[in-house]
Amino acid sequence: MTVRSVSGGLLVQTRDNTSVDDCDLKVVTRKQPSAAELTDMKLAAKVAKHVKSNAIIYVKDGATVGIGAGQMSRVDSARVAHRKSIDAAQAAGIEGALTRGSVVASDAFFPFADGLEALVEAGATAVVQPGGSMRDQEVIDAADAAGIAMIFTGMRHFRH
Amino acid sequence: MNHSKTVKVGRALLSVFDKAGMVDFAKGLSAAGVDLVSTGGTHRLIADAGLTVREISELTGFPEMMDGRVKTLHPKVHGGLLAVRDNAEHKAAMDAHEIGGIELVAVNLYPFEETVAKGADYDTIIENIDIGGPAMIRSAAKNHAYVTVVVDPTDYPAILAAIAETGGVPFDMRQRLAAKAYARTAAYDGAISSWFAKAINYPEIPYRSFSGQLAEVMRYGENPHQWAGFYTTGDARPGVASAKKVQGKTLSYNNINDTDAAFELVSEFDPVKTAAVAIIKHANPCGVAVADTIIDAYRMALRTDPVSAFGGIVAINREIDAATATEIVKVFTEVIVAPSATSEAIEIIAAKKNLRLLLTGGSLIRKPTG
Repeated sequence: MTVRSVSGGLLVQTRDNTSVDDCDLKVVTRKQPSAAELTDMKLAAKVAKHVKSNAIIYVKDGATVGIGAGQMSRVDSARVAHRKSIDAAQAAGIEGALTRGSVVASDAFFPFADGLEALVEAGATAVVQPGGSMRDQEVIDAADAAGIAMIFTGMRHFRH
Repeated sequence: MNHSKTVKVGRALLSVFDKAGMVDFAKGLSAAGVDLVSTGGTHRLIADAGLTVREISELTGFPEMMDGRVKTLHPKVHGGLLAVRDNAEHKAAMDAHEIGGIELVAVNLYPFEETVAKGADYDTIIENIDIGGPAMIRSAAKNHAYVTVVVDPTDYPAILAAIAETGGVPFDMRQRLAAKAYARTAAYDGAISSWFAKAINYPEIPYRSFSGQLAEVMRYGENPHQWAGFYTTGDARPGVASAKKVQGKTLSYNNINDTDAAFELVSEFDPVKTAAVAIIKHANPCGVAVADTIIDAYRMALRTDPVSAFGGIVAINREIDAATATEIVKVFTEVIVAPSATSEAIEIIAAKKNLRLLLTGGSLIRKPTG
Protein backbone atom coordinates (compact mmCIF):
# COMPACT_ATOMS: atom_id res chain seq x y z
CA MET A 1 0.00 0.00 0.00
CA THR A 2 1.13 3.56 -0.60
CA VAL A 3 -0.08 6.49 1.45
CA ARG A 4 -0.12 10.23 0.95
CA SER A 5 -1.67 12.86 3.10
CA VAL A 6 -4.10 15.57 2.11
CA SER A 7 -5.76 18.11 4.40
CA GLY A 8 -7.83 16.08 6.80
CA GLY A 9 -7.13 12.72 5.26
CA LEU A 10 -4.92 9.97 3.99
CA LEU A 11 -5.09 8.64 0.47
CA VAL A 12 -4.29 4.96 0.31
CA GLN A 13 -3.79 2.81 -2.75
CA THR A 14 -2.01 -0.33 -3.82
CA ARG A 15 1.40 0.22 -5.36
CA ASP A 16 1.60 0.45 -9.15
CA ASN A 17 3.26 -2.92 -9.66
CA THR A 18 2.32 -3.30 -13.29
CA SER A 19 4.65 -3.32 -16.26
CA VAL A 20 4.36 -3.03 -20.01
CA ASP A 21 5.72 -6.61 -20.06
CA ASP A 22 2.36 -7.77 -18.65
CA CYS A 23 0.29 -5.84 -21.20
CA ASP A 24 -1.51 -7.10 -24.24
CA LEU A 25 0.08 -4.87 -26.87
CA LYS A 26 -2.04 -3.86 -29.83
CA VAL A 27 -0.62 -2.27 -32.96
CA VAL A 28 -3.25 0.25 -34.10
CA THR A 29 -1.47 1.76 -37.11
CA ARG A 30 -0.87 0.47 -40.61
CA LYS A 31 2.85 0.52 -39.87
CA GLN A 32 4.17 -2.21 -37.57
CA PRO A 33 7.04 -1.31 -35.21
CA SER A 34 10.34 -3.07 -35.89
CA ALA A 35 11.77 -5.42 -33.27
CA ALA A 36 14.35 -2.77 -32.29
CA GLU A 37 11.63 -0.14 -31.97
CA LEU A 38 9.56 -2.46 -29.84
CA THR A 39 12.46 -3.01 -27.42
CA ASP A 40 12.97 0.73 -27.05
CA MET A 41 9.21 1.30 -26.69
CA LYS A 42 9.10 -1.08 -23.75
CA LEU A 43 11.98 0.75 -22.11
CA ALA A 44 10.22 4.07 -22.69
CA ALA A 45 6.99 2.74 -21.18
CA LYS A 46 8.81 1.47 -18.09
CA VAL A 47 10.43 4.86 -17.58
CA ALA A 48 7.11 6.67 -18.17
CA LYS A 49 5.64 4.97 -15.11
CA HIS A 50 8.22 6.80 -12.95
CA VAL A 51 7.89 10.28 -14.46
CA LYS A 52 5.48 12.89 -13.09
CA SER A 53 2.51 13.37 -15.38
CA ASN A 54 2.20 14.44 -18.07
CA ALA A 55 5.07 12.16 -19.03
CA ILE A 56 6.52 11.89 -22.52
CA ILE A 57 9.63 9.73 -22.90
CA TYR A 58 11.74 9.56 -26.05
CA VAL A 59 14.09 6.56 -26.27
CA LYS A 60 16.69 5.53 -28.79
CA ASP A 61 19.08 2.56 -28.71
CA GLY A 62 18.39 1.65 -25.09
CA ALA A 63 18.63 5.15 -23.65
CA THR A 64 16.32 8.04 -23.03
CA VAL A 65 16.97 10.94 -25.39
CA GLY A 66 14.25 13.24 -24.10
CA ILE A 67 12.05 13.30 -21.01
CA GLY A 68 9.08 15.62 -20.71
CA ALA A 69 7.77 15.74 -17.14
CA GLY A 70 5.23 17.50 -15.01
CA GLN A 71 3.62 19.67 -17.68
CA MET A 72 -0.08 20.35 -17.45
CA SER A 73 -0.66 19.53 -21.10
CA ARG A 74 0.66 16.50 -22.93
CA VAL A 75 1.64 18.47 -26.01
CA ASP A 76 3.85 20.70 -23.85
CA SER A 77 5.63 17.68 -22.34
CA ALA A 78 6.30 16.47 -25.90
CA ARG A 79 7.70 19.87 -26.88
CA VAL A 80 9.76 20.40 -23.70
CA ALA A 81 11.49 17.05 -24.14
CA HIS A 82 12.19 17.78 -27.80
CA ARG A 83 13.56 21.24 -26.98
CA LYS A 84 15.83 19.85 -24.26
CA SER A 85 17.11 17.14 -26.58
CA ILE A 86 18.38 19.81 -28.96
CA ASP A 87 20.54 21.21 -26.15
CA ALA A 88 21.69 17.73 -25.17
CA ALA A 89 22.60 16.98 -28.78
CA GLN A 90 24.65 20.14 -28.93
CA ALA A 91 26.45 19.20 -25.69
CA ALA A 92 27.20 15.78 -27.18
CA GLY A 93 28.41 17.31 -30.45
CA ILE A 94 25.52 15.93 -32.46
CA GLU A 95 23.64 18.03 -34.97
CA GLY A 96 19.87 18.42 -34.62
CA ALA A 97 17.86 16.80 -31.86
CA LEU A 98 18.61 13.53 -30.03
CA THR A 99 14.95 12.66 -30.50
CA ARG A 100 15.37 12.20 -34.24
CA GLY A 101 14.66 8.55 -35.06
CA SER A 102 13.52 7.78 -31.51
CA VAL A 103 10.44 6.02 -30.15
CA VAL A 104 8.11 7.50 -27.58
CA ALA A 105 6.04 6.43 -24.59
CA SER A 106 3.23 8.51 -23.14
CA ASP A 107 1.96 7.77 -19.61
CA ALA A 108 -1.64 8.35 -20.70
CA PHE A 109 -3.62 8.71 -23.90
CA PHE A 110 -3.39 11.70 -26.23
CA PRO A 111 -6.56 13.73 -25.85
CA PHE A 112 -5.97 15.37 -29.23
CA ALA A 113 -3.83 14.70 -32.28
CA ASP A 114 -1.60 17.73 -31.55
CA GLY A 115 0.48 15.81 -28.99
CA LEU A 116 1.21 13.09 -31.47
CA GLU A 117 2.04 15.64 -34.15
CA ALA A 118 4.58 17.22 -31.77
CA LEU A 119 6.27 13.80 -31.47
CA VAL A 120 6.41 13.44 -35.23
CA GLU A 121 7.95 16.90 -35.43
CA ALA A 122 10.60 15.79 -32.93
CA GLY A 123 11.46 12.90 -35.26
CA ALA A 124 9.74 9.97 -33.50
CA THR A 125 9.10 6.86 -35.58
CA ALA A 126 6.92 4.86 -33.16
CA VAL A 127 4.71 5.58 -30.15
CA VAL A 128 3.43 3.48 -27.25
CA GLN A 129 0.53 4.78 -25.17
CA PRO A 130 -2.47 3.35 -23.28
CA GLY A 131 -5.17 4.50 -25.72
CA GLY A 132 -8.70 5.02 -24.51
CA SER A 133 -9.33 8.58 -25.64
CA MET A 134 -12.63 9.60 -27.28
CA ARG A 135 -10.42 10.85 -30.09
CA ASP A 136 -8.19 7.77 -30.41
CA GLN A 137 -9.20 7.52 -34.08
CA GLU A 138 -7.98 11.06 -34.79
CA VAL A 139 -4.66 10.21 -33.12
CA ILE A 140 -4.37 6.94 -35.09
CA ASP A 141 -5.15 8.83 -38.29
CA ALA A 142 -2.41 11.36 -37.50
CA ALA A 143 0.07 8.51 -36.90
CA ASP A 144 -0.90 6.86 -40.18
CA ALA A 145 -0.64 10.18 -41.99
CA ALA A 146 2.90 10.57 -40.64
CA GLY A 147 3.72 6.93 -41.46
CA ILE A 148 4.73 6.00 -37.92
CA ALA A 149 3.81 2.97 -35.83
CA MET A 150 1.68 3.11 -32.70
CA ILE A 151 0.90 0.57 -29.98
CA PHE A 152 -1.85 0.67 -27.35
CA THR A 153 -1.11 -0.97 -23.98
CA GLY A 154 -4.43 -0.40 -22.21
CA MET A 155 -2.43 0.52 -19.07
CA ARG A 156 -2.24 4.08 -17.78
CA HIS A 157 0.57 5.24 -15.46
CA PHE A 158 -0.36 8.61 -13.99
CA ARG A 159 2.05 9.76 -11.31
CA HIS A 160 1.37 12.93 -9.34
CA MET B 1 -2.63 14.63 38.71
CA ASN B 2 0.63 13.94 40.47
CA HIS B 3 2.44 16.49 38.35
CA SER B 4 5.55 17.57 40.08
CA LYS B 5 6.53 14.55 42.06
CA THR B 6 9.45 12.31 41.49
CA VAL B 7 8.16 8.82 42.21
CA LYS B 8 10.27 6.43 44.23
CA VAL B 9 10.24 2.96 42.69
CA GLY B 10 9.30 0.34 45.28
CA ARG B 11 8.53 -2.55 43.00
CA ALA B 12 9.36 -3.21 39.35
CA LEU B 13 7.79 -5.74 37.02
CA LEU B 14 10.17 -6.89 34.30
CA SER B 15 8.83 -8.95 31.40
CA VAL B 16 10.65 -8.60 28.11
CA PHE B 17 11.00 -10.51 24.85
CA ASP B 18 14.04 -8.48 23.76
CA LYS B 19 16.39 -9.03 26.68
CA ALA B 20 19.03 -6.50 25.59
CA GLY B 21 20.30 -4.53 28.57
CA MET B 22 17.97 -6.31 30.98
CA VAL B 23 20.58 -7.80 33.30
CA ASP B 24 22.25 -4.43 33.86
CA PHE B 25 18.91 -2.73 34.32
CA ALA B 26 17.77 -5.32 36.87
CA LYS B 27 21.12 -5.03 38.69
CA GLY B 28 20.76 -1.26 38.84
CA LEU B 29 17.22 -1.45 40.15
CA SER B 30 18.13 -4.11 42.66
CA ALA B 31 21.05 -2.03 43.91
CA ALA B 32 18.64 0.87 44.39
CA GLY B 33 16.56 -1.34 46.66
CA VAL B 34 13.78 -2.06 44.18
CA ASP B 35 11.75 -5.25 44.71
CA LEU B 36 11.91 -7.23 41.46
CA VAL B 37 9.07 -9.30 40.01
CA SER B 38 9.37 -11.02 36.67
CA THR B 39 8.02 -13.64 34.27
CA GLY B 40 9.31 -16.75 32.50
CA GLY B 41 12.50 -16.22 30.55
CA THR B 42 13.16 -12.77 31.98
CA HIS B 43 12.91 -14.23 35.49
CA ARG B 44 15.41 -16.97 34.66
CA LEU B 45 17.83 -14.44 33.19
CA ILE B 46 17.69 -12.16 36.22
CA ALA B 47 17.85 -15.02 38.74
CA ASP B 48 20.82 -16.52 36.90
CA ALA B 49 22.56 -13.16 37.25
CA GLY B 50 22.38 -13.78 40.99
CA LEU B 51 19.67 -11.25 41.81
CA THR B 52 16.71 -11.75 44.12
CA VAL B 53 13.60 -11.80 41.98
CA ARG B 54 10.13 -13.28 42.38
CA GLU B 55 7.97 -14.97 39.76
CA ILE B 56 4.78 -13.12 38.90
CA SER B 57 2.79 -16.24 39.92
CA GLU B 58 4.00 -15.70 43.47
CA LEU B 59 2.42 -12.25 43.42
CA THR B 60 -0.84 -13.29 41.81
CA GLY B 61 -1.24 -16.70 43.43
CA PHE B 62 -2.16 -17.95 39.99
CA PRO B 63 0.02 -20.18 37.83
CA GLU B 64 1.07 -19.12 34.34
CA MET B 65 -1.30 -20.99 32.04
CA MET B 66 -2.40 -21.67 28.46
CA ASP B 67 1.11 -21.57 26.99
CA GLY B 68 1.72 -18.23 28.66
CA ARG B 69 -1.33 -16.61 27.11
CA VAL B 70 -2.51 -15.86 30.66
CA LYS B 71 0.10 -14.87 33.20
CA THR B 72 -0.05 -11.14 33.91
CA LEU B 73 -3.76 -10.54 33.18
CA HIS B 74 -4.62 -10.44 36.85
CA PRO B 75 -6.09 -7.82 39.25
CA LYS B 76 -2.97 -8.00 41.41
CA VAL B 77 -0.92 -6.87 38.42
CA HIS B 78 -3.32 -4.38 36.87
CA GLY B 79 -4.57 -3.14 40.26
CA GLY B 80 -0.98 -2.55 41.25
CA LEU B 81 -0.41 -0.57 38.07
CA LEU B 82 -3.67 1.37 37.86
CA ALA B 83 -4.39 2.31 41.47
CA VAL B 84 -4.43 6.03 42.16
CA ARG B 85 -2.19 6.07 45.19
CA ASP B 86 -3.65 9.27 46.64
CA ASN B 87 -7.25 8.08 46.37
CA ALA B 88 -8.64 6.68 49.64
CA GLU B 89 -11.02 4.28 47.92
CA HIS B 90 -8.28 2.93 45.68
CA LYS B 91 -6.02 2.59 48.70
CA ALA B 92 -8.76 0.70 50.57
CA ALA B 93 -9.23 -1.63 47.60
CA MET B 94 -5.52 -2.33 47.48
CA ASP B 95 -5.53 -3.20 51.19
CA ALA B 96 -8.70 -5.29 51.00
CA HIS B 97 -7.41 -7.39 48.10
CA GLU B 98 -3.77 -7.42 49.13
CA ILE B 99 -2.65 -5.61 46.00
CA GLY B 100 0.84 -4.19 46.18
CA GLY B 101 1.76 -1.16 44.08
CA ILE B 102 4.03 -1.59 41.06
CA GLU B 103 5.87 1.64 40.22
CA LEU B 104 7.86 0.53 37.21
CA VAL B 105 7.10 -1.80 34.32
CA ALA B 106 9.63 -2.80 31.69
CA VAL B 107 7.88 -4.67 28.91
CA ASN B 108 8.61 -5.28 25.28
CA LEU B 109 6.47 -7.37 23.05
CA TYR B 110 6.39 -10.63 21.15
CA PRO B 111 8.01 -9.88 17.78
CA PHE B 112 4.85 -9.62 15.70
CA GLU B 113 6.34 -7.40 12.98
CA GLU B 114 9.45 -9.59 12.63
CA THR B 115 7.32 -12.75 12.49
CA VAL B 116 5.29 -11.30 9.61
CA ALA B 117 8.46 -10.08 7.85
CA LYS B 118 9.89 -13.61 8.06
CA GLY B 119 6.89 -14.90 6.15
CA ALA B 120 5.55 -17.09 8.95
CA ASP B 121 2.28 -18.95 8.56
CA TYR B 122 -1.07 -17.64 9.79
CA ASP B 123 -1.16 -19.56 13.09
CA THR B 124 2.41 -18.60 14.00
CA ILE B 125 1.64 -14.96 13.30
CA ILE B 126 -1.49 -15.09 15.47
CA GLU B 127 0.49 -16.72 18.29
CA ASN B 128 2.91 -13.79 18.13
CA ILE B 129 0.24 -11.24 18.95
CA ASP B 130 1.15 -10.17 22.46
CA ILE B 131 -1.84 -9.59 24.74
CA GLY B 132 -0.54 -9.36 28.28
CA GLY B 133 2.35 -7.07 27.33
CA PRO B 134 0.32 -4.30 25.67
CA ALA B 135 -2.25 -4.54 28.49
CA MET B 136 0.44 -3.88 31.11
CA ILE B 137 2.00 -1.13 29.00
CA ARG B 138 -1.36 0.61 28.57
CA SER B 139 -2.25 0.34 32.29
CA ALA B 140 1.13 1.65 33.37
CA ALA B 141 1.14 4.44 30.80
CA LYS B 142 -2.34 5.61 31.80
CA ASN B 143 -1.18 5.80 35.41
CA HIS B 144 2.08 7.58 34.62
CA ALA B 145 1.24 9.92 37.48
CA TYR B 146 2.60 7.13 39.67
CA VAL B 147 4.12 4.56 37.36
CA THR B 148 7.08 4.48 35.00
CA VAL B 149 6.64 2.42 31.83
CA VAL B 150 9.64 1.33 29.76
CA VAL B 151 9.19 -0.25 26.33
CA ASP B 152 12.62 0.43 24.88
CA PRO B 153 15.90 -0.96 26.32
CA THR B 154 17.73 2.21 25.24
CA ASP B 155 15.82 4.04 27.99
CA TYR B 156 17.20 1.86 30.82
CA PRO B 157 20.39 3.86 31.50
CA ALA B 158 18.57 7.22 31.76
CA ILE B 159 16.07 5.74 34.22
CA LEU B 160 18.81 4.27 36.39
CA ALA B 161 20.63 7.59 36.26
CA ALA B 162 17.49 9.45 37.36
CA ILE B 163 16.93 7.03 40.23
CA ALA B 164 20.55 7.40 41.33
CA GLU B 165 20.37 11.16 41.12
CA THR B 166 16.89 11.96 42.48
CA GLY B 167 15.81 8.78 44.24
CA GLY B 168 13.09 8.16 41.69
CA VAL B 169 11.76 8.92 38.22
CA PRO B 170 10.71 12.53 37.56
CA PHE B 171 7.31 13.36 36.12
CA ASP B 172 8.45 14.73 32.76
CA MET B 173 10.42 11.55 32.17
CA ARG B 174 7.39 9.42 33.07
CA GLN B 175 5.27 11.49 30.67
CA ARG B 176 7.61 11.01 27.73
CA LEU B 177 7.96 7.31 28.49
CA ALA B 178 4.16 6.98 28.65
CA ALA B 179 3.74 8.81 25.33
CA LYS B 180 6.33 6.52 23.79
CA ALA B 181 4.59 3.49 25.29
CA TYR B 182 1.24 4.35 23.68
CA ALA B 183 3.01 5.06 20.39
CA ARG B 184 4.56 1.60 20.64
CA THR B 185 1.29 -0.22 21.32
CA ALA B 186 -0.45 1.83 18.61
CA ALA B 187 2.25 0.88 16.10
CA TYR B 188 2.00 -2.73 17.24
CA ASP B 189 -1.76 -2.81 16.76
CA GLY B 190 -1.34 -0.95 13.47
CA ALA B 191 1.00 -3.69 12.27
CA ILE B 192 -1.51 -6.34 13.34
CA SER B 193 -4.48 -4.71 11.60
CA SER B 194 -2.47 -4.00 8.44
CA TRP B 195 -1.29 -7.59 8.27
CA PHE B 196 -4.81 -8.86 8.93
CA ALA B 197 -6.42 -6.72 6.22
CA LYS B 198 -3.83 -7.94 3.73
CA ALA B 199 -3.97 -11.58 4.82
CA ILE B 200 -7.73 -11.83 4.32
CA ASN B 201 -7.81 -9.42 1.35
CA TYR B 202 -9.93 -6.78 3.06
CA PRO B 203 -8.58 -3.50 1.61
CA GLU B 204 -11.71 -1.50 2.42
CA ILE B 205 -11.29 -2.14 6.17
CA PRO B 206 -13.07 0.82 7.84
CA TYR B 207 -10.12 2.00 9.93
CA ARG B 208 -6.52 2.23 8.81
CA SER B 209 -3.41 2.82 10.79
CA PHE B 210 0.06 3.15 9.41
CA SER B 211 3.00 2.94 11.69
CA GLY B 212 6.72 3.29 11.55
CA GLN B 213 9.76 3.50 13.70
CA LEU B 214 11.85 6.64 13.81
CA ALA B 215 15.02 5.98 11.84
CA GLU B 216 16.30 9.50 11.69
CA VAL B 217 15.36 13.10 12.40
CA MET B 218 16.40 15.16 9.41
CA ARG B 219 17.91 18.63 9.59
CA TYR B 220 14.71 19.85 7.94
CA GLY B 221 11.97 18.84 5.53
CA GLU B 222 11.38 19.72 1.90
CA ASN B 223 12.32 23.28 2.89
CA PRO B 224 14.44 24.60 5.76
CA HIS B 225 11.45 25.84 7.78
CA GLN B 226 9.81 22.37 7.84
CA TRP B 227 10.48 19.73 10.50
CA ALA B 228 11.07 16.22 9.14
CA GLY B 229 11.71 12.70 10.32
CA PHE B 230 12.11 9.39 8.54
CA TYR B 231 10.04 6.54 9.96
CA THR B 232 10.63 3.09 8.54
CA THR B 233 7.82 0.58 8.25
CA GLY B 234 9.86 -2.61 8.37
CA ASP B 235 8.77 -3.54 4.84
CA ALA B 236 11.17 -6.11 3.42
CA ARG B 237 11.19 -4.37 0.00
CA PRO B 238 14.83 -3.51 -0.83
CA GLY B 239 15.13 0.23 -1.23
CA VAL B 240 16.00 3.48 0.44
CA ALA B 241 14.61 2.41 3.83
CA SER B 242 16.50 -0.88 3.92
CA ALA B 243 19.70 0.54 2.44
CA LYS B 244 22.92 0.81 4.34
CA LYS B 245 24.74 4.11 4.03
CA VAL B 246 28.37 3.30 3.37
CA GLN B 247 29.54 6.88 3.40
CA GLY B 248 28.66 10.54 2.96
CA LYS B 249 26.79 13.17 4.91
CA THR B 250 23.30 12.69 6.33
CA LEU B 251 20.50 12.20 3.83
CA SER B 252 17.95 15.00 3.60
CA TYR B 253 14.21 14.63 3.20
CA ASN B 254 14.52 15.38 -0.52
CA ASN B 255 17.43 12.94 -0.90
CA ILE B 256 15.38 10.13 0.59
CA ASN B 257 12.37 10.90 -1.59
CA ASP B 258 14.50 11.16 -4.73
CA THR B 259 16.56 8.08 -3.90
CA ASP B 260 13.35 6.10 -3.53
CA ALA B 261 12.18 7.26 -6.97
CA ALA B 262 15.57 6.39 -8.44
CA PHE B 263 15.85 2.88 -7.04
CA GLU B 264 12.22 2.05 -7.81
CA LEU B 265 12.87 3.02 -11.43
CA VAL B 266 15.95 0.85 -11.97
CA SER B 267 14.13 -1.97 -10.21
CA GLU B 268 11.95 -2.21 -13.32
CA PHE B 269 14.91 -3.91 -14.97
CA ASP B 270 16.03 -7.40 -14.06
CA PRO B 271 19.78 -7.15 -13.31
CA VAL B 272 20.34 -10.66 -14.69
CA LYS B 273 19.08 -9.58 -18.11
CA THR B 274 20.40 -6.04 -18.40
CA ALA B 275 22.31 -3.29 -16.64
CA ALA B 276 20.17 -0.23 -15.96
CA VAL B 277 21.02 3.24 -14.69
CA ALA B 278 18.69 6.11 -13.81
CA ILE B 279 19.68 9.65 -12.92
CA ILE B 280 17.03 11.45 -10.88
CA LYS B 281 16.40 15.09 -10.03
CA HIS B 282 13.45 16.23 -7.91
CA ALA B 283 11.95 12.71 -8.14
CA ASN B 284 11.90 12.85 -11.96
CA PRO B 285 14.34 10.94 -14.13
CA CYS B 286 16.60 13.09 -16.29
CA GLY B 287 18.19 10.11 -17.95
CA VAL B 288 17.66 6.35 -18.02
CA ALA B 289 19.48 3.75 -20.04
CA VAL B 290 19.93 0.00 -20.31
CA ALA B 291 23.06 -1.64 -21.70
CA ASP B 292 25.29 -4.68 -21.30
CA THR B 293 27.45 -2.87 -18.76
CA ILE B 294 26.58 -0.29 -16.13
CA ILE B 295 29.27 2.10 -17.34
CA ASP B 296 27.70 2.22 -20.81
CA ALA B 297 24.26 2.63 -19.29
CA TYR B 298 25.53 5.47 -17.10
CA ARG B 299 27.15 7.33 -20.01
CA MET B 300 24.01 7.01 -22.12
CA ALA B 301 21.73 8.06 -19.27
CA LEU B 302 23.90 11.10 -18.61
CA ARG B 303 23.77 12.19 -22.22
CA THR B 304 19.97 12.67 -22.10
CA ASP B 305 20.18 15.81 -20.00
CA PRO B 306 23.64 16.53 -18.55
CA VAL B 307 22.53 19.95 -17.30
CA SER B 308 19.79 18.52 -15.08
CA ALA B 309 21.94 15.57 -13.98
CA PHE B 310 24.15 18.00 -12.06
CA GLY B 311 23.48 17.38 -8.35
CA GLY B 312 21.34 14.37 -9.16
CA ILE B 313 20.91 10.91 -7.76
CA VAL B 314 22.26 7.89 -9.60
CA ALA B 315 20.57 4.51 -9.22
CA ILE B 316 22.05 1.32 -10.60
CA ASN B 317 20.48 -2.14 -10.71
CA ARG B 318 23.77 -4.05 -10.45
CA GLU B 319 26.93 -3.96 -8.35
CA ILE B 320 28.94 -0.77 -8.87
CA ASP B 321 32.39 -1.43 -10.27
CA ALA B 322 35.50 0.75 -10.16
CA ALA B 323 35.20 2.00 -13.76
CA THR B 324 31.62 3.19 -13.28
CA ALA B 325 32.42 4.76 -9.91
CA THR B 326 35.28 6.70 -11.55
CA GLU B 327 32.88 7.95 -14.21
CA ILE B 328 30.14 8.97 -11.77
CA VAL B 329 32.42 10.95 -9.46
CA LYS B 330 33.38 13.18 -12.39
CA VAL B 331 29.90 14.72 -12.22
CA PHE B 332 28.59 16.43 -9.05
CA THR B 333 26.25 13.78 -7.65
CA GLU B 334 24.30 13.80 -4.36
CA VAL B 335 23.59 10.09 -3.88
CA ILE B 336 24.51 6.78 -5.49
CA VAL B 337 22.21 3.84 -4.76
CA ALA B 338 22.80 0.27 -5.88
CA PRO B 339 22.39 -3.27 -4.58
CA SER B 340 26.12 -3.54 -3.85
CA ALA B 341 29.54 -2.15 -4.72
CA THR B 342 33.02 -3.60 -5.15
CA SER B 343 35.58 -2.57 -2.54
CA GLU B 344 37.49 -0.65 -5.25
CA ALA B 345 34.35 1.26 -6.17
CA ILE B 346 33.73 2.09 -2.50
CA GLU B 347 37.29 3.42 -2.25
CA ILE B 348 36.89 5.61 -5.34
CA ILE B 349 33.63 7.06 -4.06
CA ALA B 350 35.21 7.67 -0.64
CA ALA B 351 37.35 10.38 -2.23
CA LYS B 352 34.16 12.48 -2.44
CA LYS B 353 33.40 12.99 1.23
CA ASN B 354 29.90 14.43 0.84
CA LEU B 355 28.68 11.96 -1.78
CA ARG B 356 26.42 9.37 -0.18
CA LEU B 357 26.69 5.76 -1.20
CA LEU B 358 23.68 3.63 -0.32
CA LEU B 359 23.66 -0.13 -0.76
CA THR B 360 20.28 -1.81 -0.63
CA GLY B 361 21.70 -5.31 -0.34
CA GLY B 362 19.40 -6.61 -3.03
CA SER B 363 17.26 -5.94 -6.05
CA LEU B 364 13.57 -5.51 -5.96
CA ILE B 365 11.50 -8.36 -7.20
CA ARG B 366 8.36 -6.95 -8.67
CA LYS B 367 5.27 -8.56 -7.17
CA PRO B 368 1.94 -8.70 -8.95
CA THR B 369 0.05 -7.09 -6.03
CA GLY B 370 0.73 -5.16 -2.85
